[in-house]
Amino acid sequence: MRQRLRLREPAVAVLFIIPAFIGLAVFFYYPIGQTMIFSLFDLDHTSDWLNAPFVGLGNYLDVMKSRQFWLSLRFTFLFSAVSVFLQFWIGLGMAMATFAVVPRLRGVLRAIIIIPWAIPQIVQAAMWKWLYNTDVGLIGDLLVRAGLVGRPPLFLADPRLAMGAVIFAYVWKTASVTSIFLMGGLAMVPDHLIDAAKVDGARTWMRFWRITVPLIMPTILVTLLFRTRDALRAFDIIYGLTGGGPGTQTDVLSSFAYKFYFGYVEYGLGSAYALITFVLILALSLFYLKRIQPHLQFRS
Amino acid sequence: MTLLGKQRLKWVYSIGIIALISLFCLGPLYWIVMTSFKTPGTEFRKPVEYWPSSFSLESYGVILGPQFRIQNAIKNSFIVSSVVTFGALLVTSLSAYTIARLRFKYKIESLILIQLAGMVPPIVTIAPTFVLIRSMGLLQTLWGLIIPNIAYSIPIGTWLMAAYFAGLPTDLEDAAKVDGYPPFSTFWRVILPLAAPGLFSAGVLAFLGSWGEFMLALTISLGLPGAQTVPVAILTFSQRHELQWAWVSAGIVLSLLPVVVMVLIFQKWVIKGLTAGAVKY
Amino acid sequence: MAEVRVENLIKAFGDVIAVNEVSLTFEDGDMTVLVGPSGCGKTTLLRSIAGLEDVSSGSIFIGGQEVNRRPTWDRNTAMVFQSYALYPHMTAFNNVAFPLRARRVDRSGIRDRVQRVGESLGIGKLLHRKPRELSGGQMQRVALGRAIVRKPEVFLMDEPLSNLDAKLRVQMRAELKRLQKDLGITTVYVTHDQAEAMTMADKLVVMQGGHIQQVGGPEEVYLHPANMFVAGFIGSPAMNFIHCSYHADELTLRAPSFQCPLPSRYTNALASIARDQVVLGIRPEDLVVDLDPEPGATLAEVYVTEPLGKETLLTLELGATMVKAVAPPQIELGIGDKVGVVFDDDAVRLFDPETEKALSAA
Repeated sequence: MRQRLRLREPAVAVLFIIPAFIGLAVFFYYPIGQTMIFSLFDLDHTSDWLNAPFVGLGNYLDVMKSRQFWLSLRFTFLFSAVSVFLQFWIGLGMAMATFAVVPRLRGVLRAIIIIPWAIPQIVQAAMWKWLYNTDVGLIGDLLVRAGLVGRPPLFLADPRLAMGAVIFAYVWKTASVTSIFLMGGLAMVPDHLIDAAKVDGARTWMRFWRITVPLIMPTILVTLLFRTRDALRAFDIIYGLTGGGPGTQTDVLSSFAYKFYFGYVEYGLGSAYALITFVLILALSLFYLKRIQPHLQFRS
Repeated sequence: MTLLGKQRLKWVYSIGIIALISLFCLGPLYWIVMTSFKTPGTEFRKPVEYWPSSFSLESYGVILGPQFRIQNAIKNSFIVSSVVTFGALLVTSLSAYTIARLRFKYKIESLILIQLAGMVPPIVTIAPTFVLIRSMGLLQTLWGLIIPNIAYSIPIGTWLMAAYFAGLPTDLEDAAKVDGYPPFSTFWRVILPLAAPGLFSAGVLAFLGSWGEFMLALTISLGLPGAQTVPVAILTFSQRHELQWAWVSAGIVLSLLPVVVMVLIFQKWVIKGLTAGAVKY
Repeated sequence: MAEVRVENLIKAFGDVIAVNEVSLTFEDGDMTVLVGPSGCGKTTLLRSIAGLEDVSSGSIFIGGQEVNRRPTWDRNTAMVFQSYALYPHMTAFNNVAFPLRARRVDRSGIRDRVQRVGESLGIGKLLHRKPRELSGGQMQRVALGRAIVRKPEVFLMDEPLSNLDAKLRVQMRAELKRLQKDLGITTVYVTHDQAEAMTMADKLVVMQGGHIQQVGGPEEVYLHPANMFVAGFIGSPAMNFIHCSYHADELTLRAPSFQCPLPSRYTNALASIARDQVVLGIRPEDLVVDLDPEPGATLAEVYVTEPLGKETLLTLELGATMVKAVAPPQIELGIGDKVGVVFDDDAVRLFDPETEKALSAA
């Protein structure tokens, strides 16, 4: 132990946490504030708000008036609701599967499940573009071979199909993560409770609904919160797979706003969009958290 | 049914389940890998080939070759992610320790601030961050990516490490205090070695997170080849060569390999890291 | 109520054989206690009867019917777990009602039965509470209630009292025994506590290493242990073992600084064994300590005294062996004191040092 500057604990505490605070300030809070400021100005092809005309809430009004905003909002909700629903059930199925297989194969299955998560979202976008290819894409071909359609569908060109295509591609990766979250929860269900239920005469179905599900409810609720938040701010998959297209049919708030920033280079409008997205997510998160608070308390 | 018979049945349906899930999880990958081995130009042959009739490694040659040099992007990503991981571990373990263990008046407020930051969609911060990086002259550089990414890893990393620290027994720190160690030494010599698993988890997540980070990487690169990370490279590549699917597939495969291998090796820590967040509620 | 029978049961976990060819009958209406140290197979045997473990080979019969192939939920058994295994997200009422719901008993039927059972166990007023709001003893009763509410054919109890504090444990022992007698349900009770086993059992089954060591009533097992393991396991403080050499010509047993005449009832048994080494077993309460020993009596030196209030436990150095003896509470002895030791002849038990089996008394 060298004789150094002997700092007392409170000082060390502050010292330790300062780098994190600086990081948060510079790359989160300052940008948020700056974006808020941007949104109040008309910034066409410039970010110099000090010399730009002040429009107050004008940008927000423009956003509200824009039909495409509402469309992208609607799709964002649709996208989130459907993808969270799908990823939850698929993820739950996969999580339960890991407990149903022979112990020696459990690690193998977990590895397989985790692989989609490892692949960066944008790489997946490129991947799915090929999979959805109208002429020779795997998906189209499988559907034709299964006799479900006559010709391979135009996944990415047909507006309605494009929505489904994007959602499914997103679910492919996120079911993986959801599965891992749920696995954690399932692992916490004590064996002796399941044993007791078996002896009490409960069959598999009853054990699942009356014992397992209530016990992992906290995990389920938290998982749903995280997944919904992520779905609401999804960007990569949309940008990469459809670019928001065809047209702007599959634009979500994030991708739409991005176009304003770096497409049209309208910092003011883009900021307004971005902030609306943020407020939305924040409000939903807080509302959700409030409602599930009581359910989060129990430890056996 | 004998025990042995029952066991055999379990194996059979285990394999069945795995096959089904593999179809879902690995199916798409199989397709891409197969395509990457097709001779360029044969991708559009019909009927659709699930196995290349004309096998070739040409695509790999192309993307590793002078035209695209995917190795550069991979190299960039590695550099960025490695430095980010190092920086992230440093920053998050320190701040997590303060929150979890040290005497600090504003623990709850700190947690809230950190959690709040984690809720922010990237789109909200991207524009000012871009302007900031531009004004620092770090556009199109790796540092322009590294520094923000370290910050981006703070919410998850701190949460994870804090949860981990909180779970460690206090005996050792008490013993160190009694022995007269000042707080920093305690942290460095006693706690950090113990927290290795937590650091691993946080490290892997930080690495993978920064590897896959797209919005900032796209924006900083300005769509030009200098200082591109893998995600951006793949995107621009696939956009510019829309129909060269064999090439693109080869690119995808090569870009996947490092991360997939990483994840498989560090599975345990990845899972621990991901679940620590959700499950500690 | 039904008889439970186990035939040639083997349960292996990979290379480890937890239950090794056990055949046993659990009489109808009896409380049969499986006792033994950790890892002896008693819990595995219990779980096999419940159906929570699949047997490697052998058969299990409940009420005359073979139940091996039946899944757990289809065997008419009820189980009380060491941890109580109460469903934490349900009220006590719902915990007790759960088995009835599993059998689709109607609502009013459930209400009545649960209420009645609750009252008979003294927890009628607590049924609306959740497990975390109950004390250990109360949780135990809820677990019991859940087990008895559906009148199973067999009760299985896996160390139900181990999680209670000592005083409560003693109290619950009596209550459980009484409950079992009142209900008359065949019960298989597992414990590692030999005192608990002795007090609860109609029939005792001592197990070790997956094998049955001895089956019998508590008194029989206590007074006539079949081998050294049982002798040393049952009874506290444990039986003393002294390695002696047998001198046939003099009909005595000798050990360093100790000698005692051979109890006549063992003469035949000793004649048939080849060696001249035996193990002499005697319980501490059968060793009489003489403060004023006669000349020629066996002497021992006090190693440590442990006053217990109602008696004093003495550890004595008898030649090369340490033995324990029980003495009256007022005895005044210190470390190093020499005392005389007298063996109660009838209480002496002899064992074969190689097989560890008890020698038969003629």
